[in-house]
Amino acid sequence: MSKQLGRRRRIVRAVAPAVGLLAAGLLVWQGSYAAFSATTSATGNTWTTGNLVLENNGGGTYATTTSADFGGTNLKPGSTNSVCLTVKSGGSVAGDLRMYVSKLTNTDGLAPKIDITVQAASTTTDVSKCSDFPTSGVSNLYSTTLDALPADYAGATASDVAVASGSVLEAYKITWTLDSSTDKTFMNKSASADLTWEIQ
Amino acid sequence: MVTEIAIEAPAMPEPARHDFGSSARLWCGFLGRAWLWFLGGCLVVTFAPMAFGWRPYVVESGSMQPRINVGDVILASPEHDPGRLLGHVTVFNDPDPSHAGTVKSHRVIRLNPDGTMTTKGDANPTPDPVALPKSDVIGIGRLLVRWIGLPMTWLQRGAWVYLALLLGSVWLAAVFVVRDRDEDDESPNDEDPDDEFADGEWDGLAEPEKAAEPSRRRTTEDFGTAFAVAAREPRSLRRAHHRRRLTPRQRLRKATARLVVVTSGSAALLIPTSQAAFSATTSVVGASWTTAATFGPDYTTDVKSLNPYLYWKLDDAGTTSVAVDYSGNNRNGQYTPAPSGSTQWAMLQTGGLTGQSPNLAVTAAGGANNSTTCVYTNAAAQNPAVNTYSEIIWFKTTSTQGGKLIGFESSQTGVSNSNSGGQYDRHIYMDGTGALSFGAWTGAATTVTSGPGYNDGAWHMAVATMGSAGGMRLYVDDVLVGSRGFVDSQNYDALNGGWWRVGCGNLSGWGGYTTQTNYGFAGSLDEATVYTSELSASNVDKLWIDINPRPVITGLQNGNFETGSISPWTCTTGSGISTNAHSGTYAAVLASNGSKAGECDQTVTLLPNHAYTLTAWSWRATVGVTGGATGSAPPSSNGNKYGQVNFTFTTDSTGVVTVYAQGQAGGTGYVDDITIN
Repeated sequence: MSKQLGRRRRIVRAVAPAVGLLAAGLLVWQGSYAAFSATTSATGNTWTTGNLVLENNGGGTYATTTSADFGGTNLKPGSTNSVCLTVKSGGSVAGDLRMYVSKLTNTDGLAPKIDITVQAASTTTDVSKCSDFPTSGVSNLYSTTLDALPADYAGATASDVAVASGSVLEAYKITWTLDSSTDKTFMNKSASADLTWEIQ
Repeated sequence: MVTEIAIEAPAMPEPARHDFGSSARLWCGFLGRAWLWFLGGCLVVTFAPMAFGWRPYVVESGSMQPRINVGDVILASPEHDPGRLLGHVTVFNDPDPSHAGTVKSHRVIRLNPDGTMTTKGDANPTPDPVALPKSDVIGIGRLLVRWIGLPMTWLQRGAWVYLALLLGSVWLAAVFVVRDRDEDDESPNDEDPDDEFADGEWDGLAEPEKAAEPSRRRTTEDFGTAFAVAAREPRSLRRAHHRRRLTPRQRLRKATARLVVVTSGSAALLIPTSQAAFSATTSVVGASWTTAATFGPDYTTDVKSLNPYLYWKLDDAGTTSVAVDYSGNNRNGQYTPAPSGSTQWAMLQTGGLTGQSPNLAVTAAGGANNSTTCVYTNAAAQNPAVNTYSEIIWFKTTSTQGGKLIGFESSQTGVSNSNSGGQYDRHIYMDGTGALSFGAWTGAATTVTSGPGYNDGAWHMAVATMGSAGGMRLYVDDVLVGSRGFVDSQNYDALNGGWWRVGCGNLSGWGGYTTQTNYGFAGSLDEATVYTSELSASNVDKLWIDINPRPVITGLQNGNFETGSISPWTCTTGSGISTNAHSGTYAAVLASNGSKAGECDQTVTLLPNHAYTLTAWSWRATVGVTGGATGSAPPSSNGNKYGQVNFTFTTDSTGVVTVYAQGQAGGTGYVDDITIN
């Protein structure tokens, strides 16, 4: 073997570890810089890439937060109504969609008297009124009272609705009834709630 | 850069075939070495900081994309100051109960007043639903090692092909390196390997110009200058490594080397994982339920359900002169004088609809003069049908002057002077004694009149109705106080019609009223309603019981004791259900409790002011009622068996009585088959 080749071999061998380690160093440096350095604009939705978007049309048009015409005033025992809306998932990730009561104001103790049933059905068109709610493929998620609805995603395990990736519509029908057994101690009382759908 | 070299290598001019094979081995060895050192470097970076308390976490999901991807390893240093965490990727124990026990890496986007932090995945549209307490924080992200955790995620996902490819590449790299070394072993001219790297370095660093070929020189330059520092760092390590290589047992050495490489590579699988979970939420906020002020029926709803022509609830605040029409027909009234600033009207007074909400009324000063308080229709009304109409007015007064409560007149304001063609009828008015009249004019006055005394300071509901079904009737407080089979009224001018008025109007020629003037009603007025239809007694009753609900008639329960239980009777100690029945299987036994006679009671609600007969079969027992009525039947004359007894009683206005069956002191009695009819 020539002296020249042996020499080249030594150089190449000497350089190889340097290349590997440098690449490792570069990799760590670049990744760390990208992930951890730019912090000033990190609040809000600045970096949202829209991988997962969840909206509902409870207010007529799709928005992350809506105010559906939900509940009522001047309720008497047996008063009832149904609200239908569509939760739209527009994301690249599949997940389980669950509904829960994210906020409950029940200082009057009325919530146990408000019976709630929640039904869900997959749909291909926007459902914002109950006459459009699907008649087939309906799953019954809850039949309980307002205060007994789960308060977080973990508690809502029984109400999984599997949602595929892409734009998916899931119609919900929520029927409430002021229980007919509600006695007069519940006259002129109030309860309020925020309902949240979450996908994970 | 590694790839670039790999491409260049075959293109390099080599003098001989042997040299070409040797060169290929050399460059393969280069690639293998670089790959192994790369992996080793990443592993060192990943694990070395553990010496000073940093911890690595493999990211398992993609909610921090595009900055942090699945398979990256976050190195977190302990940091718990929320102020420093704000805006940074933070590693924490997930406070969300649904992810209990998992570690999450999300960005702190907000500090909350209660000391918690709001976190969010960069790729998530909404923040995490559960706030992060300081106690759950593990640390702040400091270093990110890309991809090194991928084997971990492959292992978890069962992506065995990828795992196999990686291990294969490591094995191949090891083979390349060993082959390259084998060449050294085959070469007698080989220098002391201990000096190999030192020579290489010095050649590269000090004499780059000596390199023979341009392409190779460039390569050497690049590595030599740019990477020299990096290359020198692990020198002692390499020395140690290559010294081992000098031992004679090559095969064992190769195997050991491969094992070391694979084992250290597998160490990546030991890195704990961290979730950067995708999640998104959407909410419907402000759902609100409020119950009615009363659960009883709603008077207003029931009035409307009868389809009124006009309906002035007189709930108006008086800021304008409008008396709002609730009929849906937009027939608003007008207060005169204007209530705002007027002492003649008291607005928003407590009304007659006890228990309803709102329950408001107006109080009028009244008085017999032309400028008295009045509410009249804004627009002229058509000539109402002469034979079918109804009016309702609620009122409360202690006045002894009487006045008109509601009626129809040919003039909107002032006096419809009968001497000059003025017309006024279809009215309810009160005289000085508090008696109410409903009057219709057909050339002469036709009235139905109640007894006196409705000026007693209490709210009353007066209903006047006319129609073919019941003629002309006047109800006060749901009681028919006057009626006659008369169905006709004043025929007003077909073109001009007239005006409905509440609280005032001419009464000249009616009852004791003789003067041509506005007879204003002094008192409270509420719920003025006009129908163009006849109201039935049940219509009137339904409205009345909206405000004055009747007790629920329970009647007597389990009077024959055949439920086998004494309930709902309540008995003294020792008394209760018995099988010594008159009929069926069961009866009640009334056993003396010490010296006291045994007794069973039941409180029942019956129709008020109603006569009843109680019938029972008793045996040495007295049966009776107390409370809202009194009556009893002594034990039957036959002392040795059941005998039938009965008595009558009349309930009071409450209708509530207690039925009792009582045995004898020191003895035992029985009762069965109690009925109340």
